Amino acid sequence: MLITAGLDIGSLSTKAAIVAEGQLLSFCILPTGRGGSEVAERALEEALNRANVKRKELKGIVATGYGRISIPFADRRVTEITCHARGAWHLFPEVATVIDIGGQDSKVIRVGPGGKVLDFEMNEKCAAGTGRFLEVMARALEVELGEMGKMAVKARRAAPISSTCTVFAESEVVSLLAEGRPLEEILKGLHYAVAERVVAMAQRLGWERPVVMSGGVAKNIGVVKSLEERLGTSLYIPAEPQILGALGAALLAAEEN
Amino acid sequence: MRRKAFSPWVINTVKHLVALSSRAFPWRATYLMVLKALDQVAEAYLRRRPVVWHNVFFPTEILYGLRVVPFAPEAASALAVGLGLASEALNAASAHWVATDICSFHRLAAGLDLAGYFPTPDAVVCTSHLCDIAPQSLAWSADRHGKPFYLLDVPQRAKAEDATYVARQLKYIFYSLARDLGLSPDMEALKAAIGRSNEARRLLLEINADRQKLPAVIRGEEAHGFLYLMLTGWGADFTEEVYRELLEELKTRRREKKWAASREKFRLLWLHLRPYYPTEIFKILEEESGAIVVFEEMHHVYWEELDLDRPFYSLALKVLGHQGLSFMERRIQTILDMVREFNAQGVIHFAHWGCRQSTAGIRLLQEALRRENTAFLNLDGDCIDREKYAGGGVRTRLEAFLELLAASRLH
Repeated sequence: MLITAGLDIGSLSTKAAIVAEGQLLSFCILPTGRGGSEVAERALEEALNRANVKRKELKGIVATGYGRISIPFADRRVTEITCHARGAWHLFPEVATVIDIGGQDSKVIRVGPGGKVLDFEMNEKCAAGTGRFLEVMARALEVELGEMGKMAVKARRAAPISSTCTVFAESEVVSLLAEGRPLEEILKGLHYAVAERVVAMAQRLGWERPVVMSGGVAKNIGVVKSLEERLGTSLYIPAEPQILGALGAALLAAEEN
Repeated sequence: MRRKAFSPWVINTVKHLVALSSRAFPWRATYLMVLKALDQVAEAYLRRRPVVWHNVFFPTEILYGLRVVPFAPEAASALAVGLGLASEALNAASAHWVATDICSFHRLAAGLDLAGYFPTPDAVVCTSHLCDIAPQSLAWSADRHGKPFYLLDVPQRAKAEDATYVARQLKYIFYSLARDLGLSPDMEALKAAIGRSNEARRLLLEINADRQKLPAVIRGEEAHGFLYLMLTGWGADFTEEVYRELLEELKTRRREKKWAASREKFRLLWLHLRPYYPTEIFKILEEESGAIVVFEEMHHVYWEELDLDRPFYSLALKVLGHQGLSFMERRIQTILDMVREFNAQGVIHFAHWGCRQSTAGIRLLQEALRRENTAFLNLDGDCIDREKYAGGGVRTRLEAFLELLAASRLH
């Protein structure tokens, strides 16, 4: 049996996926912390344990994500752009566009037959439109990160957030609170701000339906709803959106064989 | 104080040190160009002849025809980045209200001058085309030094009838500079400069024709260095000399099968400029991946041979012939031709912060390249200010672009 592993070392979390004959056997997600190969090693071992697979049974390991270059035991390094496209196509073969919003960057990928990348766009050197933006805002508003999306969708109106700069938006949010704007409206405004940024990238790329969303931010219902509203289409959300890159990496490792 | 530090002794010492390190240069032509550039810089600081500042799109044949020392602050900025002077100079500019959203070549040039690094000008000339900040930036420089400033107004639409309008201005600038600088306007010297420019153009066309051949002999990173001549050296004797050397080396290396990469996997076209601080861009492309930048848009010879008997008119046609002038379709068509002529599978545009002329029409270019099935990467960054460079993001973009090219080939 052809068993392979994919490792996605992101800025916030490290993901490992084990795949056998095109099927996901197990996965593991750990905080990246200071990063490096140690966390990746632990994530891989944990995923192997969960799948009841021994390390020597692995026929290949592909590393992806920002930390891909620091994994000495990987057989190959592939960018997360190619891996997310491959992972999304595996789960949704009809996919035409992938929106990936991770901890420190966001990407829009046009996907062709076989999960081939046709084109892509990434955010600039800036936290706007990323998970980090939401994290900073959650802290400023003293809201649980996991709750902010649910609270945002309850609001009827969105408070206007004019700045996409994380630092300026934080002070804007504090001013809105001082003005007495309801918290939910501010949260809705923040989610719109993230969506606006990502939709602009999608438009630059000439996005097409169906759209799959990946990355940790896909778990935030506020961002998902804002994107759906702005794009005018429903998004396909995998059960585990965070592991799409690792899954794609494991599948690419299998293709190598 | 800093200007005074550029004494003949210091300059000669630097030149001797460079002369002794010929092996540090990958090409003899690069070595020769650096020595010649040092001579020119020395002349500017020693002020044995009048020094005229110019922007990089000004037809320098006029200046070499007047036998003055041309000095391009934008090109000097690129050099200053390599010398590690950028941080101090950018801070100096910032202290004088030079906004951070303008082109950093000009921001740094202002800072370098304010910090005392540039040679004092005797006059300043500038064109109005392509670079929107250059006229303001150079006019301010002239004003700071209390020197005359001449602007060559180049109509954006670049119609044939505009050539007379531009030619008249060039003639006026030529004679006015001669008067201001106490020189005699020598038409024979101008014709000689035009003749040297024509010969350099002929050699560059041959160089470009050689670079069209497969596989590449020179890497894009190495070829980029020669843009110094393209932006400052038309009409100079050393331009001809360096191009002749480069052409000879290209031919020799091709004959000896000394290729740019052991295995050329992809051929890329580079649009606009590159960062002048150390980055991994060319290492990732050319060393790690065998993706060779086979041509730079900036090396495109966009003008016809100049007419020695009509110097001002033919220089006007040269100025108006730039692919970046007029409607975007002109630049797009030029780039599509380059893709075809150089067998490029991909195009990378370095979107330099604040450069409106190069970045504003990228959407149209992207669409045109898509129609031709040519992969395109718009790489955001800044040629001068390393604060705007994100190494991890750039690596991901470049590697993903190369993966995309590889996948296209497989399919």
